[in-house]
Amino acid sequence: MFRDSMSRPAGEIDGRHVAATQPQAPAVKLRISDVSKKYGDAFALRPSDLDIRQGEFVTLLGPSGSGKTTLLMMIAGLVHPTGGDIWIDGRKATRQQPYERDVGMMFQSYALFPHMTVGENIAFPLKMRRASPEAIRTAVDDVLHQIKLPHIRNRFPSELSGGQQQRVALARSIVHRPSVVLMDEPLAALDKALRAHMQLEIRQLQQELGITVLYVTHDQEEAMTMSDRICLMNEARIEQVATPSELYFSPRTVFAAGFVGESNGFDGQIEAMDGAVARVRLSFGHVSGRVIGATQVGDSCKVMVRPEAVSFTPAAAGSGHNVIAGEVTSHVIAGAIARTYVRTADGQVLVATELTRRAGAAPSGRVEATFRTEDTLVYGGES
Amino acid sequence: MSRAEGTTGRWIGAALLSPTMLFLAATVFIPVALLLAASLNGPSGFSYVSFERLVKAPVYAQVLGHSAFLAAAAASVSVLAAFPVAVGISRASSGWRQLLWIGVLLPFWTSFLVRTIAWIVVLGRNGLINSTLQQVGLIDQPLELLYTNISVVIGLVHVLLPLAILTMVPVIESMDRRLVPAAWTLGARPGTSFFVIYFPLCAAGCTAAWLTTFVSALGFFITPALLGSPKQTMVAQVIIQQVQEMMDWGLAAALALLTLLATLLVYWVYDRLVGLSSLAGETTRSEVGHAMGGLRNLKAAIYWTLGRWTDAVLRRLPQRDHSEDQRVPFGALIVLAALTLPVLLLLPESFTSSSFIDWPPRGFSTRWYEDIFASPVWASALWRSLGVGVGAAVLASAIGIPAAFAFAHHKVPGRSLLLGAVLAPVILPRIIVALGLFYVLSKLGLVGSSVALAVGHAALALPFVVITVMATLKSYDRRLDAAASVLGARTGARLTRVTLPIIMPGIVSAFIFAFGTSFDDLTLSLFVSGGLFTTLPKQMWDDALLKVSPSLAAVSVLLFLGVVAVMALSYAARAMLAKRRFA
Repeated sequence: MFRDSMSRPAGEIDGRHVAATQPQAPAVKLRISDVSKKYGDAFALRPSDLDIRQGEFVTLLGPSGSGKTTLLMMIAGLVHPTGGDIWIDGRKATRQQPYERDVGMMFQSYALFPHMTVGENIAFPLKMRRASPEAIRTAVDDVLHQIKLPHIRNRFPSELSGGQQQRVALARSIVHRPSVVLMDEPLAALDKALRAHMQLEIRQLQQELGITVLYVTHDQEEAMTMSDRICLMNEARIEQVATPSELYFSPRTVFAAGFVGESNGFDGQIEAMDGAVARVRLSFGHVSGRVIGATQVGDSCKVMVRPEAVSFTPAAAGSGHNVIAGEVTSHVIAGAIARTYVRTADGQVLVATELTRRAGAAPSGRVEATFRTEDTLVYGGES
Repeated sequence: MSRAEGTTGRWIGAALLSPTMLFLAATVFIPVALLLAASLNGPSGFSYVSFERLVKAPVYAQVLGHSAFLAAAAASVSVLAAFPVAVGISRASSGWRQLLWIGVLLPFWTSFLVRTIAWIVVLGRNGLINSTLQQVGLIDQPLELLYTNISVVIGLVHVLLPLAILTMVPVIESMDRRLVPAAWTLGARPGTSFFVIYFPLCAAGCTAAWLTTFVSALGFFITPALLGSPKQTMVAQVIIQQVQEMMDWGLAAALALLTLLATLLVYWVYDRLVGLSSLAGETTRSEVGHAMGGLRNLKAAIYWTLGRWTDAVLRRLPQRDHSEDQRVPFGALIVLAALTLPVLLLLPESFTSSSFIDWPPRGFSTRWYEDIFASPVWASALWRSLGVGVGAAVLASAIGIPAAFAFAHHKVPGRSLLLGAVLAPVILPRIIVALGLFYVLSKLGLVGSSVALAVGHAALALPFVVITVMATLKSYDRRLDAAASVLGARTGARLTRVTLPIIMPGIVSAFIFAFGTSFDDLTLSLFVSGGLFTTLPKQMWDDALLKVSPSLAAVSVLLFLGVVAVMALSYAARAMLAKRRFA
């Protein structure tokens, strides 16, 4: 049972066909196929699909009640799906018991066994897989070094700090080299500085060891920092699966644009379409922007602009910039960035952010806010 | 916190605690000490004569040994039966949970005597089991079920089981619910996750329950007297006999001392193995201390083996679903049914027209009820019990509530020792506490006084008041006090407007607990009340010693209905309160 999945070559490239032109993508370690969960008539998760490949760090991001924990629990086998199938490392696991699945799991509360020492906690999954005592000792030593806590082997969880408990929980979830490691908001209980540190440490360890991770969080910054790909969830549905930069620069829905990073949002109506670019009438002027999703002239729409895309440097006409006139109501230094609040002609608020500078006048009085057409996203009625 | 503040805090704690300590000193510690001293009090001053007599007559050692055997057997069965109920309660959905709690609390509040009498109906020569077996034709002659070790153990278990459940549930509920799912995801099959993870973490609760029930059983006399033969005589019976019939204080005191020593020995062993702090519901760290011990390794090896064997067996059985535990708690329901059904048998029995309580009851008649309502003896006993109960509850609350505040909200030097002292009346076998009080009261010539009885009951009830109110205060948000102070409330206004209204449910349950303790007590009443001056349990006891008649069944039914009514009222009141607060 104790399989060393990591020694397998990434992508399972067949040695005899080295000449093959296209390198195959790494193996799919976890496949969610049409999986759904219903409690009574209410969906906890609408039918959803997701593939995670060997060595990938994928995060389920979403507000509470979005279905991310339900999905994670179904993969662990702690909740049964109403429909669909779950495949772990190429094997159908939908009806398997939790202890028959090749997963590791890190719980929000750590769930370290209080009556066992750190060493015994970490040895537990190996013992369950009937590894030999020597193999267990070596594996536990190795993983304790990897989490940089070689000296705490004989301590009990109650004798550890929060950060140490967190690392032991991490060690326990990876020591048996499972196909997928599931992490349920494991950093939620840590303070901000330690959390930032652990984010990097987990990510580093994951990359070093080539572990496949499915991570759950409601903290978008954490998701952006750690993930190869983010699976954004909302109202029991997957909204978008994308890399952090895709998700940030091309959010597919208004929800995605609002949930990840800050956004200015205005209601408008589409006046003209030119390929993927639409001209939109707002209550305080006109703007052009990239159209996301299907829409047509006359539809009502929503226009989204990131605050950092907005500046107050005058733009030449015809340079592909939108210009909105307004009046600065306040200028706030929030740390590394400064926010400027601009009131438009009809009293709506536009926020612009820039790096905080020591010198130079803060924008004030009447200003013209400019932003590029390609930074302006237009969402049709459906999205 | 400044030094001045710290010092005042300590003074407040001491001031709040002092009434309780003085009261316990006067009613428990000094009387018990005087009683124990009496064991060394011969006809002419100091002498060992009582102990010599104890040692010379082998019957006393036999009684003590047999008492320990019966108590240990009853405690073990109680813990085994309590476990599925406690697990059921901790895992049930809220609907089931309420039902299960009712199933535990209903027998808990039902008088010892009522529960014991019910078993006479079940186990008697012409009782439920014998007559059923005879009717089916499995036996010709009635089996001797009553007046055996088995009947005594069954009776003891019935009395102790609710106590065992109440001791176990908090320990099991304090466990992180994620631990077993975590074990599953790490590859542990059901047997291993139960024996290696779940059970060891419950073990502290189980041993605490065993200890509590064992010590409690050691001081029992009702069950062995009514369900046992002379062979099953327990030490409390001998002590009572020595005092009431032989007037031999020396020997009684010497026996009490031995019982006390046996109790303390058990506590000492428990403290070595588990740690006493777990008794008060506080988490133990003893496992940590024993990290390297050979005992720990042995225990772990046993748990792992049990887990592996169970898994090997379970693999051969059809698979069950562990993911969503919304099953009906069958184990708990069976155990609780066994607690409640015997008592329900008393209902048909109380309407029998025969003057024996044989099963099945013959005919129909209300004459037993008519007798009771016509008799001035029962009425006066009832009124006296109610009066003494209310008096004891008021006194125990008045003294105990400040003490609960001291423990919960103030720094108290020597906290655990003082908490142990407050718990003394429940930690020590009740027979010893009662005997000590009787000893002092008889010297003071106060035997037969209702007030003295109420004071004694208040001492027995005090620990329950302190524990119940402490538990409520634990969940009380102290920032509310700060908020009230900042908003201009002085101490008095803060207490009456903010703190007390919020903890009122806890105070009410403490009061009911104290009242129930007094209303149900026979041990102290046995000594202190007598003749025309009698309480309800004492009256029942006197009747039961003569003959367990249908009129006793009728009294039992009325008492049981009283408990049901009080519980229904308290549930209704709580539901109403919850509705108003969160509407």
